Amino acid sequence: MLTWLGQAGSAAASSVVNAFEQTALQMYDNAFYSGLLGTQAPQSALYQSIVQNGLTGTAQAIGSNLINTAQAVANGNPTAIGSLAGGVAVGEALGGLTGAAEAGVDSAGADALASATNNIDELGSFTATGSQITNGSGITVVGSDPVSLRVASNVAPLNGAFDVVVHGVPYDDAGAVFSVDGLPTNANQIAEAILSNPTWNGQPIRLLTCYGGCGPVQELSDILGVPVQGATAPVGVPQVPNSAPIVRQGGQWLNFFPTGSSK
Amino acid sequence: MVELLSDREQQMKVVGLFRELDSHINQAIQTIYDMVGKLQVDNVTAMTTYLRSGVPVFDVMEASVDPFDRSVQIEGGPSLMSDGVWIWRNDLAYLVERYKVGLPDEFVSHAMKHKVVSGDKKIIASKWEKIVEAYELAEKGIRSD
Repeated sequence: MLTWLGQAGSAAASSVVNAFEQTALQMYDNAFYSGLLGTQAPQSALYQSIVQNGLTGTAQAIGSNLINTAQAVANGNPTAIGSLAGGVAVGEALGGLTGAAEAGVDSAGADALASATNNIDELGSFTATGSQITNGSGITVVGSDPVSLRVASNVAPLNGAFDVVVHGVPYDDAGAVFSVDGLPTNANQIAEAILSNPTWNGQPIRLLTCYGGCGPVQELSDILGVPVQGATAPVGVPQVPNSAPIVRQGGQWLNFFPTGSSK
Repeated sequence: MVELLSDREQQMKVVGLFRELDSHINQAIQTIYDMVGKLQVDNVTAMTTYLRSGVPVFDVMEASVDPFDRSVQIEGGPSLMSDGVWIWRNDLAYLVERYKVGLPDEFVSHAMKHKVVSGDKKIIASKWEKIVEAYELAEKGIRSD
């Protein structure tokens, strides 16, 4: 188990949750201010403080410096590896940095972190296009944006189902596509992300994706060979822990089964 | 009782809602094309700072599309943020920063005065049902107050 936040594990659960969220948000801000990805920053308390004090240039310098360091890590520069405090990698923006992310971390507190963050406890891997996959027990998040991470932290699990958190975007009156880090993404990549999670054992999937029930869900069901539940309209989750997802605009959840199955 | 009075006095208002942002939005609502470049350049940083300091209240797993550049998707754009009084979409800061879309004078004054959202995040987030309801009414062109 990858435990890049293990050092925070001995703190109180609330602190661990906050540390997890802030670290993830800082990773996003690092990438944003280095110009690599994202459209909305600052998200983390650290960067908000910097920008609110009129130091946007400083934020950009920090982001660029961290990205440069991470690139050096990717190239095997041991000095750079040492400078990544706690082994926290900014690899979300780079892909292929999972080895660096694992360097220098311990496993203490991983279980505490898992329970405190609704089982979101590890950086899993990256999609073929370099987007971050975050795996937890019974849940996979595809993409690194703050909204996805908050949804994963706040959504109440559905008994017997495996949750997949990924954005969707409508492309015409009847259909939709997956959207990861601002790019259209096909169902095969989402399926690969699910398969990268060792806690997915073939159980039915609940797709926390807006308009997921308008196209992508059937494709995913066919690829994985399991029932998939998707929404026909936007899906949202309140910023309140253990919340049930809500389908807006008169939409509903629909169950899809592999084509040709007996259901 | 105190809470009821407070809610009545602080009627929530939606800012930065434009018809192009969602097909479900009442098409009588203002168009973003009339508001581009209407925000004073000197106010852009202050407005984006305030908007981004808002409390995430309701996270939506939809990527919105930049009305002026369909190739740009904004992850979680329709998500709702608030300061307890004003409500706005997560993508508003992007639109303000990139296109300097105009905002109501009342909101600009409010944001300039407070600089950042400083209310209790848990209290604001706990009002998510009221906030979503107010936003949905606004989408239909109905004021919540």
